[in-house]
Amino acid sequence: MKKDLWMKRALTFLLASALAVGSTSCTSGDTNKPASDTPESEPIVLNMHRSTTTDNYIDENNPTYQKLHQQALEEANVDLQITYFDWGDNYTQKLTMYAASGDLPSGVWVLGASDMEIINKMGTHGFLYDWTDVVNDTANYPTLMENAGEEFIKMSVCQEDGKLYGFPAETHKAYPHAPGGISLRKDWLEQVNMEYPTNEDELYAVIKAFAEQCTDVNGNPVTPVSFPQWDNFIFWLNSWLGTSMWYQDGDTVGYGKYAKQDQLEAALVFLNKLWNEGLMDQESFTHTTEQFITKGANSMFGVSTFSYAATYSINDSFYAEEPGSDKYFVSCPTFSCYDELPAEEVNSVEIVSSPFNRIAITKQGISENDFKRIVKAIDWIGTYDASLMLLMGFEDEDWYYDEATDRKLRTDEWTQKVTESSTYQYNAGLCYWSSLNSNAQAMYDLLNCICVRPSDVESVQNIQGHQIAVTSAPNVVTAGPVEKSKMTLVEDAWKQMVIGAISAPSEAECRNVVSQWPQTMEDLGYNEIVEEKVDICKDYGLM
Amino acid sequence: MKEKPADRSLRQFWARVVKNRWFYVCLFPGFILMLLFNYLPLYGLLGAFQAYDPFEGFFASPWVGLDNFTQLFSLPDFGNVFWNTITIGFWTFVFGFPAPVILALLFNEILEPRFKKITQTISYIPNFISWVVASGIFYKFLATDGAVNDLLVAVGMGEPINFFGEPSWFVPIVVITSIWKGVGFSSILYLAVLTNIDPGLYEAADIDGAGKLKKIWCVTLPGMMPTIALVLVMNLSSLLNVNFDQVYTMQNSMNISVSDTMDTYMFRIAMQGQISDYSRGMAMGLFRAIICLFLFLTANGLSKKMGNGSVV
Repeated sequence: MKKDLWMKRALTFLLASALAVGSTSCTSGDTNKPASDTPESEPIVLNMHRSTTTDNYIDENNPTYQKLHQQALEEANVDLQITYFDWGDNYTQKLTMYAASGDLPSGVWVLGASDMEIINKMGTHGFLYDWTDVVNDTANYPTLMENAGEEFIKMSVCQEDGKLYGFPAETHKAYPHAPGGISLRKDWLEQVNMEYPTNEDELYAVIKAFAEQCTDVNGNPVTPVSFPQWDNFIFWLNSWLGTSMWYQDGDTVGYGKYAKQDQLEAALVFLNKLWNEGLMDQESFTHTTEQFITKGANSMFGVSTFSYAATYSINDSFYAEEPGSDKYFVSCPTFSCYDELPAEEVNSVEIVSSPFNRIAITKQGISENDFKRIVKAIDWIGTYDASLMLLMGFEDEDWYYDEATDRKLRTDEWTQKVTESSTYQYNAGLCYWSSLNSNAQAMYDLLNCICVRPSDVESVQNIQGHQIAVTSAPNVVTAGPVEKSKMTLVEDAWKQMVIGAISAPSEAECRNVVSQWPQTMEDLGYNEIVEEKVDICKDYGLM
Repeated sequence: MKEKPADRSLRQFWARVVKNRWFYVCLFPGFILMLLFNYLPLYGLLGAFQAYDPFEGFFASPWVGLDNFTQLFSLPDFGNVFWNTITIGFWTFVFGFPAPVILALLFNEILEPRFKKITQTISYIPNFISWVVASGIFYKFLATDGAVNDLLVAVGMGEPINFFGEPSWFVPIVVITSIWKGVGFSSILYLAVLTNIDPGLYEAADIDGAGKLKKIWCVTLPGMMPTIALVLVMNLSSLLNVNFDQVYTMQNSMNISVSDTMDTYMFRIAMQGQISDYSRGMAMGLFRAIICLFLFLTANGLSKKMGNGSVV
């Protein structure tokens, strides 16, 4: 008995000690510990996070990247290292984990509004450097921001306490073009002798033609439409909705996916038709990405939505089989509700942005003087010439100035270089193509700029319903408590509604399901979310 | 001076510790692991009663009392999620609990030792495959163009079935895959118990003219009963611990109405939502732990009443 008692006492003491020791370890970590200055003779390692939308990470042999890296070293002895994460990863969650564990990288990228919530918190808790005054002291950024305008600054990494914790995002004088909502097999399109569809009737005709005339690798009939996974399915909806994100139309604010009722109904009725006629893969929302890629590589479908990694993987396999053939998925221009753009605006490649948009520098291992050096290093990149170099490549090697047309045109060498890339093929439809070499898509995301291929100018001018990725105020402001607590519920309900509508046994039932959505949204608090969003935009001075 | 009884007891205690020191050394890592991963994180329960902010930490986040629980229970999906958890846990228990017992009894009847070893080894192997891999395998097998559907179509069962797309198939798939993966490893415990049953009892049963089934019913099962009772108590207490890996990898947009369990729901709202939802995730975790504790104590009480002793 006494022995048992001693054992229990010893165990209790050990546990209590362990708990006491453990509780003393729940601090905020070493993140706020001031770092010491790096000697001028030593490079500051800036480990910057960035997303990539392909499996082709930036090539360290890329001459433009090497120039960028070299310039940062020469200007301020900053060693630029980029750590990539997949677009599909939950970066917001990653940032939260980094902050909670006190293990932040030296540079984080603010992806969107959800990240800005965390950036706000990180900033107000002293995890991040304040750019406000430093930016004004640099050589080039003041001009950049003056050109961009006050609203642009506010719509960037704007903060509740009035400080700027990240470098502002790109302006939208350039018009990014999301590479379509729909991807088609180019060779199948030629086989059925049809053009790129420009509306849903033509799209349906193309899908029917694929079903009737095309076969898979085993010679079996195909189910023409398939989606890689749920999130990429949203790109398809953009063709109908214009945007799936927050939009602002005058004083009206709404979340595109939920609020554009008519367009949503049209899209879902169309998909329901495909579902019931056996033209859509019924595993679209259940199969894995790998299964989707396998199906694509085996030619089991010919119409899908845009998916960076998956589509490139399929195209890579086609390219490996038959380099230079037309056997690949190509992006189809979106046909949305927007009017045709004026040609001079479409052709604009005016660069007023920095490739380091929305970069926030943490205090993790970076002293105040180190931060100033980093800003100086990045300052060079903010110049027009540097941005042009990063966008277009090197003059005379990758582009040249054509006096006759007063435009920057691509050299034959550059054209040859990129046409050998499988990712080029994907964008060879009617999309914009970005600069640099075959890993250009990765650099495109790094640079977040666009370049219009001269040979596509005319076709671009003829695009109808060209999607414009215009940043709207609600997309950049932080989420309030109502949105934080209710948006997940609305999203879950929306997904269920969409699945239910698409898989409904008839069009009437599909419409019935969709018609109940506005009431469901209201019941779940969508209107309160919108009201809160408008209030926050007004607080930021953006409305 | 005569040694006091307490001192003698302490000396004897330490003498035993020194004598068995290597056993304690073996025990030490497991003990530390248990401390680190089971007891230390207990302070995290505070977050269930706070508006937890990872930037503030557990001791500086504001206290909200039971608000997180109130919000959690008032969520429209909570009832469905709770019901899904119960459903999956119940059917997995109903079919999954007797399966290793039956398998152990079957293995026990195999006379050829080499064949017995081979079949046992084959039965254990799935346990070492992670659910991510196993789910991928089943996705392939159960795809509309997979082996199972090919077989069904070949024998004239009609159109291929979208197993992962039809909600009604989700629970059977989870139960069957769960049994496939765990039955072999779980049967090891029962096999060990079977080897400890006195062979004399079987001889006596032979003399009494008992057949195979009678021997199993009258000798084998009673001999296994204490172990069965122990495992029953442990399984009942973890009724709500539906395997997160398994469910999460098999869950998709089409079957989520039946596949969303407390674990996956908690993961979604706590890890994939906004910062403040950590609190609700923790509240869900604490709620589930309380129910598991209740089930454990109930099952333990039942076991005592049945005369199989208490686990604690």
